[in-house]
Parts: sequence; C-alpha cells; structure tokens
Amino acid sequence: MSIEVKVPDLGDGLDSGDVLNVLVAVGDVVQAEQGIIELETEKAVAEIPTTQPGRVAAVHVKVGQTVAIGESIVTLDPSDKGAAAADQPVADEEVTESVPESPEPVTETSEVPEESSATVDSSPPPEAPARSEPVKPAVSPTAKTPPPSPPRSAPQPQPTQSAPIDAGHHSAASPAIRRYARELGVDLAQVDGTGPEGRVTQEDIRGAVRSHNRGLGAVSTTGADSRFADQAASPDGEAGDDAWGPILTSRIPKIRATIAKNMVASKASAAHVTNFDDADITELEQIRQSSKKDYAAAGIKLTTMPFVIRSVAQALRHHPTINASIDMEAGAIIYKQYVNVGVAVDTERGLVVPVIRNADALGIPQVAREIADFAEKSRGGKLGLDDMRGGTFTISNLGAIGGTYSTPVINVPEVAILLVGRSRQMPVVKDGEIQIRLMMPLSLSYDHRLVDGAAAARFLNDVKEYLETPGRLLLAP
Amino acid sequence: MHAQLVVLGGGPGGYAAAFMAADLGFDVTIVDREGKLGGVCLLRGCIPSKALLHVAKVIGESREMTDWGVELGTPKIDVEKMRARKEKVIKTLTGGLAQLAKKRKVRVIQADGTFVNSDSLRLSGGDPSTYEEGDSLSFDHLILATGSSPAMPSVFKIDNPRVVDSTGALELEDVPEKLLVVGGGYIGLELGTVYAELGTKVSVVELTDSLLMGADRDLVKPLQKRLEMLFENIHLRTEVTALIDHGNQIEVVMAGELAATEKFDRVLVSVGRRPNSRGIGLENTSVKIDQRGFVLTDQQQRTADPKILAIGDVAGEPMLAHKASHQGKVAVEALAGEPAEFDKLAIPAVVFTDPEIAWAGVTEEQAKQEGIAYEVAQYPWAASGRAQAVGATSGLTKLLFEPGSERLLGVGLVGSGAGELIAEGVVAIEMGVTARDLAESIHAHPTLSETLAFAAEVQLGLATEVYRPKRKPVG
Repeated sequence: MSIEVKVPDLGDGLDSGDVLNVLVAVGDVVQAEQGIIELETEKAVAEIPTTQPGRVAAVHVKVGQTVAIGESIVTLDPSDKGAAAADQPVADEEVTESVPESPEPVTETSEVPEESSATVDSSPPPEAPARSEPVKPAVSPTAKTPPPSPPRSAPQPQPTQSAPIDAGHHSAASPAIRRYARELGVDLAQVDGTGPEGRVTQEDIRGAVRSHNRGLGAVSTTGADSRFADQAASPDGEAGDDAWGPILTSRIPKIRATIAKNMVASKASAAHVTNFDDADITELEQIRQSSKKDYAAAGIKLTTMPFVIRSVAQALRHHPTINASIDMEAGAIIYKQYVNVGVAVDTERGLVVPVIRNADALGIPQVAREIADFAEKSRGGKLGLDDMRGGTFTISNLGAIGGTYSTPVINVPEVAILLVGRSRQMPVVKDGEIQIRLMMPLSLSYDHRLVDGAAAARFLNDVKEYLETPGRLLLAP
Repeated sequence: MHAQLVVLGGGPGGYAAAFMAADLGFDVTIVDREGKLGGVCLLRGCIPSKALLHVAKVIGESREMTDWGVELGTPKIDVEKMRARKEKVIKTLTGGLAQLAKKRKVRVIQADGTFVNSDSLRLSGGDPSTYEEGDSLSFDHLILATGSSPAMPSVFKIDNPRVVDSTGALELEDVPEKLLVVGGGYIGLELGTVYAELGTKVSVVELTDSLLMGADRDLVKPLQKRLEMLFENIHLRTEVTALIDHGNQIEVVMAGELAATEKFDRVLVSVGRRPNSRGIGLENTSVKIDQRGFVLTDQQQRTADPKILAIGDVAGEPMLAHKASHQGKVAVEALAGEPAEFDKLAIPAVVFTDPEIAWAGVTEEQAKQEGIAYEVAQYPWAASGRAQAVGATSGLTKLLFEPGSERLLGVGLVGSGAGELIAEGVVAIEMGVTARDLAESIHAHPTLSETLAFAAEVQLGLATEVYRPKRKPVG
C-alpha cells in the first residue's frame, strides 16, 4: 500500500507553482506535517507538507519543475513510519541535505542545478572569499588617515628575485587580470583559463568567485543579514558584459515579478496622493520602555509597531472610506466591515505582506504576538498564502532601517497605505517653548479616486492622536 | 613635525610614490639629502649618461658615414659646452619635478633622515630652512627609497680625484688621454663608450670571464666585437690589485690573465652598487636586511616593520629606476588598501651602448640555471631589410618560449634601438602571448620591430625571410 502526496489547493486562484527545493529523498522517513518541497507561487514561497507519515518511496518532482494542483509530489510507504525514524539510515547517498532538521528551509542542496540558482535568492554574504585583505576601501581625497592597512604577510625571504615570478606556474593572465583576481581574492593558481591559448579571462575569475559562493550557499544566511546588506549585494546570475562593464543577468523570481506587476497596476489605476506628518510619541515611548521587560519575559520583543497597528486599526473603524475599495467597472464602492491590517515585511526573498485579521479587536499583546509569529514564519519561508490575503489597509515600517518620509505605493485594491519612518528627537514648540520630543514620521498615500485630501488628513490626525495619547489608545473599546 | 606619509629618498621610486600618494589624498613629505628631486637616476645616472651617450652615438655614426661616401671630418669637442648642455637637461627635469611636487602640495625637506624608532626620523644637515620647526619628524607610514651608491672597494681609495666612480665620470672634468674602466658591467661599458667616442683611449678590466654578467652571451657578442674595436683593450679574468698615486697619473697593478702595470690619466671604478641601508638608523626599527644589505619586503613592498615599506634599489635587485617607480606605486596602493602587488613577469633591462642590448623576462642563462624548460627562436638582423639599410646587421632578436604552449617567456635583443624595441616584448610577456600571437600581429615594414614577429615565425617554422626547415609537419 502506498500514499500519493499531491500538490494541495493553493488558493487565491493559483493553479501551479515552481519547485524551489525538494526537501526529502527516497528512503527518508517523514512525519505528518513535515515539509517535503518548497513551492514558489506568484504570491509567496510556501513549504508544502505531507499530510501523512511514512517512508518516501519515490519523488516525482525536481527543482525548477512547474507543478499543478493535484499533481503527485512523492509516494509514501505508510507502513514504515515514525518509530524507526531515529535509526533509519538515509539510504540514498546522492542527497547530502535531504531532511531538514530545523524549520529553516534548505535553500540550496548539492542537487540544485546551476541554472536554477538564479531563482534561489540565498545570497551569501558579499565577502571576498580567499583573502583577508580589504577589498577596495578607496581613499577619498579628503581622507585624513588612510584606511587601515591590510594585514601584513611575512616578508619574503627572497626579495631580490626579479624576473618571472610565476610564468608557467599558472595559466597566462595579463596584469589587469592578475589585479582583478587579487581584487576578488581569487588565487590564480586555482583558475583554469578558458580564453585563447588557455589565458585566464575576467569571466574565469568571476566564475571562480561564483563557484566559491555556491559553496557558501549551503550554509546560507537568513533574516539577520538582510537588515544590513541588500540581498542583491551579491546576486547570482549569468555573467556577461554590456557597453560599460561586467553585468550579471538573472531570471526574475516569481515573487519579484508579482511585486512588479502589482506596483505597476497600482500606479496605473489609483490616483496616488501622499500626506506627510509627524506623531509625537514621547509618551508612548515611555510606556513602551516600561513594558519592554515584561514582554521580553514572555519571549516577545515589544516594538512600536503594535501601537501603530492598533492606532491605525482603531482609526479605520471611524473612517469607512479608508477601509474600503473601489471598483470602477462595477461602479461600486466596497466598504469593508472588518479591519484587517497588512504589515509589509522585507524578507530575503522579497516583500511580503502578512495580514493581521480583525486588528481593531486585538490588544497590544495579541498584536505583538502576531507580529512575532509572522516574523518567525517569514524567516522560515513558511508564510502561507492565507496569511497574506484579505487585507483592508497596509502599513510599511522602514523605521528599523532608517529614513523619514516616502511615497508608498498603495496595495490595491486597498485605498491607502501608511509608511512609518524612523522616529527621531526633534525640537518642537509645545506650550510656548521649545522642547525635545520624539517624533515619528508618517507618510500616508491614498487613492484620490475615493479618498479626498480632507478625509485623508482627518484619518491621519486620528492615527496621530491615538499615538500621542497612549492612554486613549490602550483603553479604546 | 608630523606627516601622514614620509618618503625617505626623492629618486624615481620615491617621487613616484610621493606623487601618487598625494593624488590619493595622503599628506606627504619627502625627505632627501639633495636639494633637487630625481635621485641618482636624474642627477648622476640614467639621464646625464644618456645625454652623453647621445653625443657618443652621433660621433660614432658620423664616422660610419665614411662607408657611405660622406666625410664629416674629425669632430671638434668643446667639453665645457657639452657639460653645460648636460646640466641643462638635468636642470629642466629637476625643475619640472619641483613644480609637480609643489602643485601636489608635497612637502620636500632637504636633510639626512635617520630613524630614531619605527615612528620618527631625526633630521640633520641639508638645508635646515626646510625643517625649521624642529629636527624630529614623526609619521604614520614611511616608504624607504634611499636607493644605492657606487661600490668603492678599499683598494681604490687612494684619495686622488683621478680615481672616480660613475658620478665623477659623469662630471666630465676633461677628456683624459687614457682611461681605465674597472668593471665590465653596463655602467662601465656605457661610460667607457662615451669617453672612447670623445677620443679617450679606454681600457676595461673585468674580473670574470665576460662582459655584462647576466646577459645572454649571444647578445653580448656583437657588442663585445664592436667594443674591441672602439676600446684600446679589454682584459677579462683580470683583477686590479693596487693603485699607485703619481699625481697626474695613476699606476694600476693588474693580476690574473693579464699581469701587468700600466699608467692611466683616470680610473673609473664601476664594480657595482650597494644599497643605502646602513647608517640611517634602520637598526632602531624592525626592518630586516639581508646579507647584501637589501631590505626584505613582501610582494606589497612591506618590510618586517608594520609602519615601513621599502622600494627600489634598497629593496633588492634589479637596481633599475623603472622597477623602483613601479614598486613605489605598489607600496602606495598597498597603503591605500588596494590589491596591488609587485608581481611583474618582465622587468626590462637595457644597456645603452652601441649597439644596445635589452632583455626582459626569462634569459637563456637564467633558464639553464633554474631548470626552466624553454625553446629559443632567433632572428638575425642580417636578414632584415631595415637593418641592412641602416648598417645594423650585427643585431639579433631572440625569443624564449615555453615548450608546448609556445607562450613567450623571454625576449632578448641586441642592436640599434633595442632599448625601445624591448617594450613590445615586455607587454607580450605580461599578457602571456604565444608565438602565434606575435607572428600574426602585423609589424610595420621595413622596421626593426619586424624581427620580433619574424623570430616568432621561426618558432612556428613559418618564417619566409630566412630559410629554416619546418619544426613540425603541417597537419
């Protein structure tokens, strides 16, 4: 007897996805709810779990393949389950990282074919691999001190050696190529030239770096690093040249294509207007600081985000035109009778917007917990499609990264989006004197087709008022 | 006083480093004991010797005109005018360097700099007005570019101004009747050529069995032939054991193949150069020096002292200005965190005699000594139309290739203009070109540069300008 595990209903009108990773191999024993593949759809990357335990008898998909709902993923032998798992050896030695032991997705295995690596955005840190010298800390003309010197290597015992240092010891490489290799930390002796007569080309050097990086990819990084470095800092792709220098060409990942499509659709349909304002969160910050420890004890990092979400959710209840959408074709305005607030999250695969349902009914602790759950899920690539549907309003928070104001693009069919910048202390005239207050920059974009400037300003005032009078916010019925 | 970067020595390595560093935004001070930048190369080396060799060459060529039916007569030589012209060349160039330093706001201190420790120099002598603020100069980094000086073994130190080193010979006090050149290296041969063309009877005494140690014999041969005619005598395997001071004349006692005593009006001692690494307080730093006095550095010109880098003659052979300036740039880039390295495959060496000798990359002698596998292809200039037309038929172009890959390892040239022709060889070696690359790049006809392509064709067995059976069957 055997069980076929099939591609489940993906929801949201989706009927297929691309296999990003195969997480199991023949011979593996899997538990119910254990992920067996990672599937990338237009909306998200999701791990598809098996519904039944058993031993994998056959794998029917491979990386890069497009699979449709109902298609068989693996065949399980249910007689061999669970108990024996511990001493069950992994039979197939071709697979080096078949069973993920942690909830972290395995972003690259030895099986990932080269061409698909462009879509696997598990960029390694942008470090030069082989050497420890700093790469190009250019000295600005005004620099007072030179950048720290690279670590010294021991002086050569034979400094007087003049002529050919290593002609014939490596493939022929011109001075420019030799320097390029040093710049990228590539040991020329390890590079086989593919140019005319075996000369080392720039492409060979880049190839060496890429293959090195692929090696690093297996010990991939998640979340934490993306805060500091754009994931595109060391992109993968096919190397080439345009008229101005070397380039890498990579396929657009589905999630990026989806973002692109949505952005253009939004800009093409909604009549974008953005209002800017600042909320004085000095008091709110005091409250947050005083409660931080209590939350930390419960395993939750209390940021200002739950307060913003709750303020928005409360305000939305009183501003039905903001919590609505507009359908020009049907000639209809749809007033949502629920308040679902989406929170834009920057993940290493791209922007996703998980939705906090009925946010107006949730207190600060619940909202904080939901945010923490989403963060955890998005890091593991486990945000489901359902998590990202049904929003009525979106909040984007760039505070952790920096910056003040922006003109966010509305997440259609919603009609407004609030962007929160980084709070900073500012001189504010209050009660006739200049005081130092902690100010939170707010940028509200709205669709002028439905929302007029005055309505937007009134809504934003409401949000501000909640943020500025935390007592009212916390006690809001 | 403090400077972010001090360059000790203002020669071609030192000023190149200083100027580049200034361009990169460093605050730079050069300390040099001379009042002028340029070092030995410009003040009493490459440049003045080339000025005088230019004169020598024209005199030599005017004599050759007799063969073409043109009598130019015996040249009348005004030594003072010649000296003045040479000085003018130096003055123009040093003036230019001073301008360049000024424009870059590079401070130039004229003083002897002695290391107190790894962080500072004590300044003395020179022109104290250039360091009025005090005689201590501290630095974040220092590039040691103190160069080298002519060696003067004690046997020659008899305190008579008629015994000179290369510096003295370039002064051109007079045109002596008889000159003995001690040492058959390139400096002795170049300066011997100058004096011989001006009318001096020049003898050369060389300890070893050949002139121009380090150069391939087949390249030296045409020069030696020519010098045997130009010079009075060339004594190989002969040593000078004593100099006897006779006031206006020096009696030279020689031993070896020639055991004799002979009087000369002047003696030029050109037995090599010594790195200027002693007497400057390096013992007060962590800099390490080898037995010959060369400062040890790595490929980025860093010494064993974290604050000090060393370039040029003081950092090792070959003692050549163009090597120094490249190392200077590497050192500065290393300080700036750039991935520079002195990783040259070919440093051209040129002997500016007539004919000139030049080589780059692996020499045949070196390949034999170090066991480097090679194939050699030669193209005698006698087969070149241009060489025939200009009477340069004694020339030779030789190429060394890596067997199998036919990648160019070394280039050797002897003949008129070899010093200019070697440039192609240097680029070719650094780029890793093969015999086929050279042969299939069109060289202008009729030029001497064609001989490089023709030699490559010889390697491929495709030369049409000479007859040589094919190395390997086609197909």
